[in-house]
Amino acid sequence: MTRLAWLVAGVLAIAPARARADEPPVATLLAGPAAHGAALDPVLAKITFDRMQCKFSEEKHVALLAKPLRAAGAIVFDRARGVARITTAPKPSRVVLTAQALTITTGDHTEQIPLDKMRDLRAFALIVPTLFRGERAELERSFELALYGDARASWALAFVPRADALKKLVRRVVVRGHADALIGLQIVEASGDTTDTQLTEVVTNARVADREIATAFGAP
Amino acid sequence: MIDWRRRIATIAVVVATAVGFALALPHLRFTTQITEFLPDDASNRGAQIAALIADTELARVMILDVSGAHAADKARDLLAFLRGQPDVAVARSGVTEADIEATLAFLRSWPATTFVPRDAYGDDAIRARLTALRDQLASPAGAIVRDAATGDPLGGVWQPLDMLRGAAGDALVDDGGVLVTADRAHAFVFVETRSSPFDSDAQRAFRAVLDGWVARAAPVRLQTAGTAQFAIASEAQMKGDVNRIGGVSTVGILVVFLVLFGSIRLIAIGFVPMLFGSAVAVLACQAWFGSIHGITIAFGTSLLGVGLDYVEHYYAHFVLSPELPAATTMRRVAPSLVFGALTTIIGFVGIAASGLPGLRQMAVFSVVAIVASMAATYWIVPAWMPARYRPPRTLARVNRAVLGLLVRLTRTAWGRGGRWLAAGVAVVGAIAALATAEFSDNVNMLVDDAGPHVAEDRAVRARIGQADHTFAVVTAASDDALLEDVARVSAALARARAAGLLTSFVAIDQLAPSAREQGARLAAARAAAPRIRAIMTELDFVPDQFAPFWAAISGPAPAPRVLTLGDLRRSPLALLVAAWLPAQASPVALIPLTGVGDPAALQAAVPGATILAPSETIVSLFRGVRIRTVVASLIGFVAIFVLLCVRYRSPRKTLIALGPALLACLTTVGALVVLGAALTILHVMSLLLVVSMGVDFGIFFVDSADSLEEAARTMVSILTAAVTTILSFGLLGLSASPGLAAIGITVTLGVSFSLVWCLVIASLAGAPEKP
Repeated sequence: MTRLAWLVAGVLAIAPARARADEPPVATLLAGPAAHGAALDPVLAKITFDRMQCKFSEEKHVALLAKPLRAAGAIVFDRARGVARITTAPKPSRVVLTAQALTITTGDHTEQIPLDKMRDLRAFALIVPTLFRGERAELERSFELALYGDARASWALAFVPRADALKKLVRRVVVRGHADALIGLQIVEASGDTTDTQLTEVVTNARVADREIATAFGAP
Repeated sequence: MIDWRRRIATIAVVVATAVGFALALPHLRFTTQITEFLPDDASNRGAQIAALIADTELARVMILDVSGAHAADKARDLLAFLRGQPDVAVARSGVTEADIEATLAFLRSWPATTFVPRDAYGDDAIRARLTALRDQLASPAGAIVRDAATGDPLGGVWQPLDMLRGAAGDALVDDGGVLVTADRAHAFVFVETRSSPFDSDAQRAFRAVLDGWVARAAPVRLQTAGTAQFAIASEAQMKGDVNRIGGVSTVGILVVFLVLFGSIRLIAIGFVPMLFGSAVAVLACQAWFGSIHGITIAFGTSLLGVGLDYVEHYYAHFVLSPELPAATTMRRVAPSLVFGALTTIIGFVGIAASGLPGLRQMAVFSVVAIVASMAATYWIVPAWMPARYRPPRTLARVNRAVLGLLVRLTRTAWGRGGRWLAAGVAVVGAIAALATAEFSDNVNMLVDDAGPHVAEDRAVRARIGQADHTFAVVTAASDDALLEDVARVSAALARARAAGLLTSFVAIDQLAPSAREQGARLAAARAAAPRIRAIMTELDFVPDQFAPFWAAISGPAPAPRVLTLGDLRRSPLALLVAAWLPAQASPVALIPLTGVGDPAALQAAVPGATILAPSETIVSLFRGVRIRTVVASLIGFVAIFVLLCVRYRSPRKTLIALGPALLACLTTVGALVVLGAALTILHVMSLLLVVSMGVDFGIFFVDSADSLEEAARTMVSILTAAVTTILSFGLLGLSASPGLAAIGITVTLGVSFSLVWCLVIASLAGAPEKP
């Protein structure tokens, strides 16, 4: 029943993080001056990986619901294979996002959805893997990018959709970090609903074992 | 004395016919449409449904399989190319981004309750649907679900989408709007031409268009599946065989004529009745039916032999009695010729009454051809016979040999018992073989079942997972009644699926609920509104956030918008709807089924629909056609018997006249069975031809049995007719087309046996009383 809707699963999967207690709120960061273009490259370089693994905890505020929705689990990135989001609570599920398709496994049910049908949504879904590959030009094709804060301290990379179709769904995506560390994401939907994802225990590159990749993505 | 007035008159008639034929030739329409051989009576539901299916998109769509490097890109190019072709009505493949957006927009334009089944308004069902919505909102997909959820919290719009996804099957994947195999090696385009798939001229032109694209897009491989290629292949095969074999056999017949009659003039005149009869028959069929079927052409080609027989019989008597004027000889043999023609016509009257348009056309063709060639033989041929004629020695030698043979056969007392015994054994053997005969009603009898087109069709269909073709066919008096019946049948199919009678079916009712059902769904939603609110609260939803939904189902109801079949046919889903709910004069739904193990059990479980696999249904219908043809032939046979009895008023003469045909039929069937041939409707029709010729032989023989010399002359004419017929049909038996081969082998065997039985019966009948 979630078919088309799942198209965005990838990104969101990796969605936002609530700032650490000592981090300034997103709004404070975004209120400051923004840098564009090549000025983003030093920050992009900090979050360009071959592999990345972390835990996530997520809180989603949906106007349709009286209480926020919470989820927790792990995220694994592999440059060659894409992004896997393994949710352990409240309900186990696995979402694997590649450049071609989104594969959702819930219980015994697996569904694969090609990503070639909605160009804008595809760009949205692929924000995180594209970001982790450091491909600024690719990102700028679909989003206006801006860097806020101090690359040596707290910073935020904001993505604002260019296409009207995507603007109808998402107002803004913000990736947050502190110095070299990636600490979270925030998605603000067009409806005003927000999803904050906090990333912890981030492990990168060679420290992510092949076994972890295999477990997260399954057989190639 | 030469009758110049008559000659001029005959020239005028022949020239007028030739001119008429030449003028009509460009307008002649040929068809291989199988539905011509389906019963056209209203009581035969299976035939009606098969005819409907044959005319729906299922039959009209051609599948193009593009393979080679970058198959998907090539297929995209092919799609764009085809959409610019004037004869292409539709060219499609996978689903594009625009298709998805248009489909979602269409589905969301209807009240949310339109697609939510009534059983979704129980407490547990509401709770399950709202829990699913909450899970989706919590998921990464929440952003998309959320927007639609305020107006459709129970997820009605996903019902038809789920159905559409299930209907797509697993065999193919979508690559940027092009359907491809999982390994991306083959990409598929589905194309429907404005021309009928059975219009072989148009389909040949379309094939040329495709070939042009292949040449431009090379390197690429294009394979096809669909009715159209069978039409092209069968016509090409038949035309090729008829032309090739016809050419060889014509040369053979010319040689026989030259050797026996020794006159170019006689040869030229001899072919006039045959050609005249064929031309008149073709024109008559075109005028009467609007087109001529391939089987009629094949059968008509066979019938040419009969037209030639009349001339040969006349020639044999003319040549062997050169002292008599041509007109006198004609007057002598005319009663036999006319009577032979009459018996043949009577045989075909039964076929015409068989209730099948195709057989009716064949019968009309045959009757017209026989009458016309008979008239030409009687009226045209004698006028042009030479006044002075020296016959070659060949025919005289053959005549002496035949006379000697007849003398030995009829005057040798010993051995008659043995011959009776031999004849009896042959007949018993033939009847025994008949009892063990196998019958085949293969619908593809016009093309070689192992031929390249059939193999290609199967391979392409296997790649797209279309090997298993079964449908639940629902018919009704109106579109809305049809949708109600479809819902009832879908419920029955769901129960049958639970019982293991099928694997899956396309639940068309989820996409197209009837007007009454839509009203009932809205009423159910209104009644359930308080409970939906309560369950929303229970699951932490904020009910007031779903204002569009409450507005749609509550308050003083404006006349709700009702989705109709017409709306669907004008929607982005029109192509799919056309396949399942084709726009026909009689509303019909074709619900695709997969994994049907026992069609009879499924039929019992789903009485509201007709369960059918089109190919099996048509085979079954052809079985009926074959049986009807046999019955019609038997009736014709009885009529011939009565006619013979009336004419001869002698049981002995009647039996002698009928004997060769009857015994030839039996022994031909026996021989076919011994050869391992499964008997088809074309064998049956060919046997009819055998009967026509056999009875002619018998009549000629009886009418000339006053003396052995006269009998010998008749036997020579029969022998000549047999040889020329075998020259025609023996070669036709070598055709790669199973249909033509069946005609060729059967007629060759039948005519040979007719000749043999003529001799046997001559020997059994004994010497004439007045030698």
